Amino acid sequence: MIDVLISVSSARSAALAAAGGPIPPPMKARALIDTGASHTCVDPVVVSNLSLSATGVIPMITPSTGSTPINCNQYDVQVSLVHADHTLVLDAVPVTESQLQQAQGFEMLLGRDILSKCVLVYHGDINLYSLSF
Amino acid sequence: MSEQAVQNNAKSMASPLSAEVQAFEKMLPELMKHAGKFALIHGNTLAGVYTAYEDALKIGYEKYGVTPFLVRKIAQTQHIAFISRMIVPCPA
Repeated sequence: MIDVLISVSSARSAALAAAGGPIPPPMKARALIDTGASHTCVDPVVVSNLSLSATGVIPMITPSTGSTPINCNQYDVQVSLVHADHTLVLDAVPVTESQLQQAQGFEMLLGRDILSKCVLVYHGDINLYSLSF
Repeated sequence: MSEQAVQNNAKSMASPLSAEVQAFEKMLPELMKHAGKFALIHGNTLAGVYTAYEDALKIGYEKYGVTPFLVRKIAQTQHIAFISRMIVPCPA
């Protein structure tokens, strides 16, 4: 589990500024690293807090859906992996909306689309992982 | 079941982007000459085809502000998100 910052994408931020609307502040979120997730997911609380509107739709299969995919909204956000020495900022990341917070206790499922920008090492023998970026 | 068959069975629900998704599917045979690029669709109108997702998004926000628009990769079959964890998707 890691802490991340989620904010509106720079393109959306510019559109909000051009429209004279408020730009939602970045939201700190707990993210579970999940190599079993092809795509990154966020809880509806993220969508609500950042006042996002969908810019994509993607079919999703999880153990709860069986073999029939559910079409889910996708939103473009900026995700920042923050470390004292270095921050990885990924702008315009498409994230898919799923129920996470109530049932799972975190706001983001960090999938392989983001992990593909990092180096993830699992040291099973000492029960440790490292994420480099 | 093939990925295409699974996809065809995807539950279709009312979505803020349902018009755009329908328009994309209607245009897909013509769009396939741009396979691998990203289509920007607003309502029933194709606004452009772009090499990068970020470019399509930027132009979408510049043209349409925060009103709904769709950015989708042009491919014969759409990627399906596979999540092995027991989570509940939010239907569009």
